[in-house]
Amino acid sequence: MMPAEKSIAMEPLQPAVVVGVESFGALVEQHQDRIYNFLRRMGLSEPDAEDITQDTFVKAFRALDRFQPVYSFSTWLFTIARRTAANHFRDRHATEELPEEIGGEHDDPSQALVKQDESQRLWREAKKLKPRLYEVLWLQYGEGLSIDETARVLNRSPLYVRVSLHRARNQLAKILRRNSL
Amino acid sequence: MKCWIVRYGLSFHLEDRREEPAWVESHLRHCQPCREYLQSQRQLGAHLRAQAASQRETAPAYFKARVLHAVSTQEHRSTRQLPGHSWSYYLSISTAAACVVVAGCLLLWQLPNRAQAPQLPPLNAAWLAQGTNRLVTIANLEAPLEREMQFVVDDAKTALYAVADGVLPAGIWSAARQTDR
Repeated sequence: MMPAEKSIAMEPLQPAVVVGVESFGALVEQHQDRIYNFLRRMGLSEPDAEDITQDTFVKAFRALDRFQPVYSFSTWLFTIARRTAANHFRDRHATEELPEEIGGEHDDPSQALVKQDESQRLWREAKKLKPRLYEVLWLQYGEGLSIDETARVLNRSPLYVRVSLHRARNQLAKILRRNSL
Repeated sequence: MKCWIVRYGLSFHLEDRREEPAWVESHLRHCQPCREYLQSQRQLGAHLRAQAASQRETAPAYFKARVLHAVSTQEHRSTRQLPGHSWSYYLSISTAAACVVVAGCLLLWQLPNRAQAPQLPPLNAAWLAQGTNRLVTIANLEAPLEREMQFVVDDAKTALYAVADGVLPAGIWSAARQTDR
């Protein structure tokens, strides 16, 4: 199935039918959780993720006439959210540190208790990967985007996405093997 | 064939869920480690997909209302705003343009005074026959040209003072103007 066909099937409301703020609300309701969750997975705090999700939708609303339905609306939103988050980090880089989650694992003893939760173990180990590899991994397996859609969000080539996925999986497998020894 | 090449090729086809190419298939038939690698990569992908669900966070309940409020505020502001840019944008553009004009005029003004240039011999065939590459000036045009240039410089200075008086602290440009006079 082509990505565009899949997205139409998954997304009943298309931006083309949005005529005002009220009808845009339906699109917000449909996508807000995915965008918010994506930003949280990228290591943003709850207030930052809320602010950037809001900025993403405001920007999307103002640029609705420029939306080209070659890819799904959610792919477009991910692209905007990612750029907005990057600008956010760049603007405050001079005064603040990046979120600790992006930097790596905590040594906090309370984290050891959380580690017992096997259902979250895989993605927690994946956090040890480089942020760009983790991002590709999440878009692919967490959000279920296709290779082309992931490339579109990252503004990279599909080949870059494939190579990054290959590296991410191999490095994650190594981490898991090392931890199980 | 080297196993790492095959594994690299395998990785490229994991996400597409297509059949492996013939050269990979033929290698897999007689290479047990590569078959195990393929199996482990597929399992890892399946686990990542399955565990991604437990990673999901949802936006707060009030979030849709917050986004719609921000969108409608933005829309209201954009309809009230004059088309184009703000006054500071136009001020900076006009200041930059005035500076360019003044700099250009001063540059031209500083060129060697051609009125004092030595009189060249009249243009005739004998002089041209000498084959020299001399600069030919028309003395009658130089005096009016210089006066025009002076007018342009004066106009540009006046415009610059008018703009700068509104931007810089009072007194600086007045002092400069007095000195200039």
